[in-house]
Amino acid sequence: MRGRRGSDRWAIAVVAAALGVAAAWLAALALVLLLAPINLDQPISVADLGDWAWRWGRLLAVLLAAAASLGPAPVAAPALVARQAGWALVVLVALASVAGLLAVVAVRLHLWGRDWGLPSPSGYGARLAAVGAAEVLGLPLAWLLALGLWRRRQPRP
Amino acid sequence: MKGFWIGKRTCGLDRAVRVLAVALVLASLLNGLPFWMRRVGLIDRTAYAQELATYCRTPRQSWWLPRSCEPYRRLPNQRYEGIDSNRLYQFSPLETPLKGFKYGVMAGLLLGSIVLALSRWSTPMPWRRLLPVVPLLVSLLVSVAISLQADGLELTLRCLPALLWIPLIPLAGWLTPPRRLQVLADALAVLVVLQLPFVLLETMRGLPMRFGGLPSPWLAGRLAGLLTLPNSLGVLVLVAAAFCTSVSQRRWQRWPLLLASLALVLVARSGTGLVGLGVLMVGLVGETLGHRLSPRRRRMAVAALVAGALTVAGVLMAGPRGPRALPQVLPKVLGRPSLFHSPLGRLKNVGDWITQPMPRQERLWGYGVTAGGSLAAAVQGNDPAHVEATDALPLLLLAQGGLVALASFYGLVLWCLIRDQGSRLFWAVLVLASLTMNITEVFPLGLVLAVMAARSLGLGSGGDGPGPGPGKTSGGHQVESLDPGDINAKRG
Repeated sequence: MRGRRGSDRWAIAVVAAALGVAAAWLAALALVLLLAPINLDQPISVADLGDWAWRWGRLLAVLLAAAASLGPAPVAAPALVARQAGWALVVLVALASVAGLLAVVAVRLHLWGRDWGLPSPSGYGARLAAVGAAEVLGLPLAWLLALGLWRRRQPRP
Repeated sequence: MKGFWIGKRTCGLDRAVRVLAVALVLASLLNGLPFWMRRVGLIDRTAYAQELATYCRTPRQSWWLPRSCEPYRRLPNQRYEGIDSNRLYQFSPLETPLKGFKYGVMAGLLLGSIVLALSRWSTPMPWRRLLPVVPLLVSLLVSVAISLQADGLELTLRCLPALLWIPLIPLAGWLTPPRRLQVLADALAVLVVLQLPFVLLETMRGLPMRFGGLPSPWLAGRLAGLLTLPNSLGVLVLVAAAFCTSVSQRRWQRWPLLLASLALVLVARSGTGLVGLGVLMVGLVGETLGHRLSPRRRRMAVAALVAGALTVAGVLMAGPRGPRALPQVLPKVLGRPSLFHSPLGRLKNVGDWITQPMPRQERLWGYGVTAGGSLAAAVQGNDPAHVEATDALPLLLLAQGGLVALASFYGLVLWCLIRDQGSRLFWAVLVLASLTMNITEVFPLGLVLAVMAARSLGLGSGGDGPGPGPGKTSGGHQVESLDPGDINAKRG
């Protein structure tokens, strides 16, 4: 990987950016599919998740592209970048699911959502928690993944 | 040249473990997928709609989403008595190979391990270390003989797949080098994480099955994910978490996996899972303290930990006066008044079985492999007149192999507990889980048990003892247990 030309760095950066946006969109799509069955009391807006995917997708793209190509270290292999983007997808969906399940438990215990006045508080709670987790965890997750990618490029002593 | 060839074979074995890991995840998914799809209405939609319609009439309507009921109110026939659970468990001929794939994986692994053992016949075998497994193997042989005599060859052969984990123990040494255990641990972690989105969907769409006779006002009171029973889900994630924390060298993996396991156990409402995860977490905190603190501070920390746990338990047990008293919270979390009913409730049945009058031969050696198990019950048409499925491993062992099988299994576990310090938590959790269901029939827990037993007995290591757990060091250096192929490859 050492001695790659500048054009290679550009190519890797573009591929990393595209994968970052794709990962965010796929995560949003997975969340829409997961949360679609509770589009009943207060339908979830696909546009909201689309906005979310675009916002975090751009950030993830910039971070991955920078982590994959900037600096004197050899550029990252495309497979490594793809793996990192795949991690972003899996971790986001898993965290959103965990948040949704814990919200169901919280609603069952009447720790949350007693005053919502909805016939399906657990479903609504699951939706709120899953989307909230995706929103809140997007930034730190993107930073962590980019940092991991950048560190793996550094030559080891 | 010889070293090169052995080196290539070792590399081939690593690849075989990766294939096994993929097959393990795939078989687990395929095993539960049709059942899950039926529960959430992705297949067999008409029956799903009819069953859901039961929950669309007052007063149940207020418990579920009214708008979701609208399409079902227009169904012509409104005479629904309740959920037909048996229908959900019946699978079409097309689905049979999907469910049978897990037995194919186990049989393939056993055959491959036999071939590998035969190809290494010249390598000295650690015969002495195999001794703790011998009683269990003898018990299996006697049970097979009893079944052959009583039920014939065909029925015996059809019931055997659930017991393949026993002959696998002495042959599974090749799976125990740390890097191969790591591959298996990763596969189990993937299996746990994969359950999450499926369970979340089931939370929203799953039919309200009344597992254990517990009435549930929620659409899906207890969730089973890609397993067939909620308790199976709880026990699977518990044992998988214990396996990963015992053998995985990725320490970052521990707490995220435990968090995912906790979420799954809570929605599965598995009492055993919850108690087991508590034991696992306390054990891990203790282990971490043990590594980082001096002996004096460790004692103080343990005392503080115990005092804190007792205080919290005291507050929780304070009854109606407590802020979130355990007696109030538990029925909502688990759907039962007592946390310990799930893990300890079956012990009375074990006592009854042991004390009931019966011929000495049956008491000692059981009724054979065609008795007791879920698979045995399924192949005999789930007819209680033929065989009644047991719901705890001690009962299963007593039914199939009598007191000898029971003593052999728990003797082996005790031996592993004493011998292998690195996996004590795993064995403790396994014993707890075994009290609540036939864990060896839940795929892939039989395989996990066999591999872990081989590791704890030291069947795959080149040294004198069992392979070390993660972070276990010897003389300040990381110790890696090697199988004979590895040793020869290094020498070559």
